Amino acid sequence: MIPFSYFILLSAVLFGIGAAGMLFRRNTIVVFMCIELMLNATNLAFVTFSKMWGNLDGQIMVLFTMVIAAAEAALGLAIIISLFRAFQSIDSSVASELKR
Amino acid sequence: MGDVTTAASGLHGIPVVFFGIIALWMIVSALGTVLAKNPINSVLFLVTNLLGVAVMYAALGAHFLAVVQVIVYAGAIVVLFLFVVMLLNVKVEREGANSLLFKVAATMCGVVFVALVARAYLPGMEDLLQTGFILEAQSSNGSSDADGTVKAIGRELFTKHVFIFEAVSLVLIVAMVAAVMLAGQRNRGEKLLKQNPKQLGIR
Repeated sequence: MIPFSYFILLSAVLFGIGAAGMLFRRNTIVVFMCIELMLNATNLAFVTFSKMWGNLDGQIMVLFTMVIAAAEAALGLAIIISLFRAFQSIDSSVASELKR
Repeated sequence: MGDVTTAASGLHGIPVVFFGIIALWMIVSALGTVLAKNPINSVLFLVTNLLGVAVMYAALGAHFLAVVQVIVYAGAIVVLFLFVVMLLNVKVEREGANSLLFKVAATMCGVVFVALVARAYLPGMEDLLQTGFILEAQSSNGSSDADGTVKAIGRELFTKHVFIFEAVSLVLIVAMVAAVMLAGQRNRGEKLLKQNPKQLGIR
């Protein structure tokens, strides 16, 4: 019998790793992967809470999150491709034209 | 084999050792995703991590979600990532001047978040070591009907949440069309930036 707190703590650790990585990587593809990490961490927390309260709504939310994550990945990668076409780089610091 | 069948039967009745191995595997692969220099390695670490999440779903009794996790994430989303990484073929990452300070600050953000959650959900470390979650008793009365079988998930999805289900499918269609629009126009944005930058007021 694994306590639910272990799952929550694991989810928090994964979310923290994803958040830190999203902040300090410059490669936009890796930033998107870190966002996927964070989404999966929250999904794990959803499933844990769903199990804990005996309520399936959390698992339904995970399904919807997966759909939104798929949409987000498709859109984000399309944006990365057009970013690469415009700047010949996927470094997030090159896309700073709005600063000037 | 015994461990696998216990894990698949739900009720998170898996041994703590099994949980520890998978958790370590997931944390190491998450760190690898963040720290790997080559994006290809990052993607492969990410798919390892996502498979670990699927194992955790199975251990929590969410069998349908575990299968969907493997099919949708490992089968579709990660392949999309891999495709884009190989299409663009960019390996060298240029680091900024304030890189070290920024990295320390980012790591602190992650650590602070983990500490906050640990503080909120674990009243004390002795609680983590001995009894675990304070609401552990809740699991006994509701665990039987919270097994995420296809039947249970389908009944919930198509009765209670059917409107959100349809709305989300619409979101997916719109996102697909938008992705094709964004990535498909081969030279419109390029032309705007390269040939006619003054008209946009850029530089």
